[in-house]
Amino acid sequence: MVYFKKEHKKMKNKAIQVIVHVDMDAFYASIEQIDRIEYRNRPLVVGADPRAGKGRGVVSAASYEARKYGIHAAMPISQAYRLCPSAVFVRPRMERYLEVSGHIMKILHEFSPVIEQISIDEAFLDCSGTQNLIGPSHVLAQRIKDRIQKGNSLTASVGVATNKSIAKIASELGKPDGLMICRPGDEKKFLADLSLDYLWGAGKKTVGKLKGLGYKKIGDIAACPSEGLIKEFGKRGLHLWYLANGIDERPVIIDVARKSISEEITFSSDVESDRYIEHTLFRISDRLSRKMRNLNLKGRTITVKIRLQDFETFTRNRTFSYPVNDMNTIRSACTYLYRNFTRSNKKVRLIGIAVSNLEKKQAQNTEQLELFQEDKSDVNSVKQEPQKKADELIDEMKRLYGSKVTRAAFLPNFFDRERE
Amino acid sequence: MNITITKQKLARYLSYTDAITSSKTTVPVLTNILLNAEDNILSLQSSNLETGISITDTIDMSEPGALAVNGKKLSGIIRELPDQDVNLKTDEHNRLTIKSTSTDIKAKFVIAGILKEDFPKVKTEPEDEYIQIKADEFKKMIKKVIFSVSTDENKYSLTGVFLEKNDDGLNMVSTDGKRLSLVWRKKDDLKIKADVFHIPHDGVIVPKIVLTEIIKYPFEIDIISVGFSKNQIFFFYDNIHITSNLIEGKFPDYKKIVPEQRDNYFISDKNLLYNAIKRVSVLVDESYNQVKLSIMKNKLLISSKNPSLGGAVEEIPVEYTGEDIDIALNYIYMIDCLKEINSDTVKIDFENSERVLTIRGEDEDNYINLIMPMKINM
Repeated sequence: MVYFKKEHKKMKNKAIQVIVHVDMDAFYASIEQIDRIEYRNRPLVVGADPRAGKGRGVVSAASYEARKYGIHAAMPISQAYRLCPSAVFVRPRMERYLEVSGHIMKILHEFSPVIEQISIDEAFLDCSGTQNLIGPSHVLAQRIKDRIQKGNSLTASVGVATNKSIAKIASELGKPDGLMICRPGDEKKFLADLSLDYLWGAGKKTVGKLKGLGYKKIGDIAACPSEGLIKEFGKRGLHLWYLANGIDERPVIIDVARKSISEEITFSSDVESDRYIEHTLFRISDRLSRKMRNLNLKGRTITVKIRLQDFETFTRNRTFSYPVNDMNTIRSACTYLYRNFTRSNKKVRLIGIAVSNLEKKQAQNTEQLELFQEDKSDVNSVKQEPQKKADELIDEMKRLYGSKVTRAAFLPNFFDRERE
Repeated sequence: MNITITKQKLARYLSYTDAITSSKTTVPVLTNILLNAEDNILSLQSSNLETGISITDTIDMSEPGALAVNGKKLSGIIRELPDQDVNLKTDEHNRLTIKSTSTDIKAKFVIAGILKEDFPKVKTEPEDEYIQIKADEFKKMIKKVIFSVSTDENKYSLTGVFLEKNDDGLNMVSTDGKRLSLVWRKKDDLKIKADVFHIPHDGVIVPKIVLTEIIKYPFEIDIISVGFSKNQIFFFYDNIHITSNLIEGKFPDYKKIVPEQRDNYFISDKNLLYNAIKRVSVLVDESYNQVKLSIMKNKLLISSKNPSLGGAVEEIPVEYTGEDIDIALNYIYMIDCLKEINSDTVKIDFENSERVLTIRGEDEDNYINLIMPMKINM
């Protein structure tokens, strides 16, 4: 309890925060329904091609009409198809969504300069001190909703509270088209009767573990001393306990830099052949490294994600002492990681690569020069410079003539056929 | 097996053998150390399939036998025992019982082991003859190059020290692609005793882990024996045999990039330079570790800059008469090699701000370090 008192004193000394969480309702699906009149009021699923129930990707978003059938994001597309074969199934149009997301963020900027966009359709605003300018919380929230409705014909759910965690929960509770406010001082009461699934920051595993420990509602956690949770979860336990007590001091961070960049492929049927998987890793490295070069990004940590036929998902990573974005390094790291992974005879359903620990390459770069760069003798992997030039050349070729203009000589033709 | 051995000796042997045991749990048997007692000789062995070690010693024993047990646990137990002799005894269920002979404590430890037959055999003898080398000099050579070994597994052939014969002795080279250390000694300096002094494949790449073990070890007899087979290297010193697979692959043709002595150079007091770089480096931007050397007539400015913190600059006197030039580099590379130079003054020669720098001790003509600069960012 000591922590709690200390924390509360700290809070009292601060002016009351007004944190707003804005979450767009069924974002991708709503955009599709706005752009195409014929999709309106129909169950609509954005995601992979269902191929009459044989498709293998997942649902990216479902309209509220589709959710009535039990369809939700991250569900296998085949299952969604079974639940509602008559739904409209469309492929995602990321560019369009990004464009709309841009509009919405622009609107939010009218309300506060302190904005943290946490995903394409979600953002936190720190509106502390804007009461005199805009008005009390409910006026503020309604105005944000109206502006978005007017500007884009989309509905948003808005939560207002004294901290991020509760604001997020409030917008979630109000969905769709929600407006929910937790008044300063009401935090504990607000959370007390909610199920643990609402605890933002606690994943499925953690919630499962908490339930196993006998906690049912958020209030149950708040009512217990923090020691038990600390014993069970370590430092994270204390964090969870704070959250349950309505305490969350994380600030709204402006302009969070991109944390990672990734690409993955779900195979059209589960794959056994290591050779095929390594070739696929090669292809993904190629695409990912190109994407990174286009964005002028380099990263130090390379992660391979492997999902096996039984949906169990594994990641393996390694970190370099220097940031990289060239295809060869990414590929060889991934191949190395993959070869050190034992999949115990199970087939692979999905494979992907993510690069994190990113750095934006500055215009004037602090680049470490290489000793052997002028060396033309056949020393494998030491010759960085030629590889860089080759990467740049291929980038340019693909930009001008399309992505199929070149292919690594050892890659068999079947990849060309398979490409959608 | 029923043996008695002094605690200190056993603890020491276990720390050497446990350093080699595999930390990877993919092959669980490799986390073990094999104890083998025969004819009043105890041998301890461990292996990680790349590197193997075997230590032998004469001991008191009342019953021969062998058992492999978890290395971490066994050394953990022995470390906690008082300084008296330790008794190790196996039973028919492949369990090892450990007791101290001290009357102060009445502790008994039992750990389950595995049979000798299930433990990989550690090969200890080379196919060719051993070459005997003065251990002290050999260790000094290792220390002068080991810090430049690459830790990047993508550059596999750089993850070890390159050992090759020169006209009249031995070269050791290491590089991580950004810096390079090269040290050489004459056959006489190393007191090499061998009928034929030969290193296979015109030079071999020795994994860092073996060499790290050798420099850690305090030699009783100042001799290390080195031998080879086609793809392995063997070391033998005091009562220790250590064997390692050689790193396959081609070490880069480093001779091409070591420049001749160049006209553009400055000479500095080594300690002055070392201390100034260390001071200035406190404020480097840690993602790049860059310091800038601004070389001017008879003075050198060393500076660091950290966009979120500030920066530092220090001036030291040097001998230099050429044109002003700025060179940026990773300060760690400089610190690492200055530490190993045995000379009061150092000579650093360069061509321009994007070509390699060479660092030599003025009184040490058999040791060179090369450092590649960084592009200047301040």
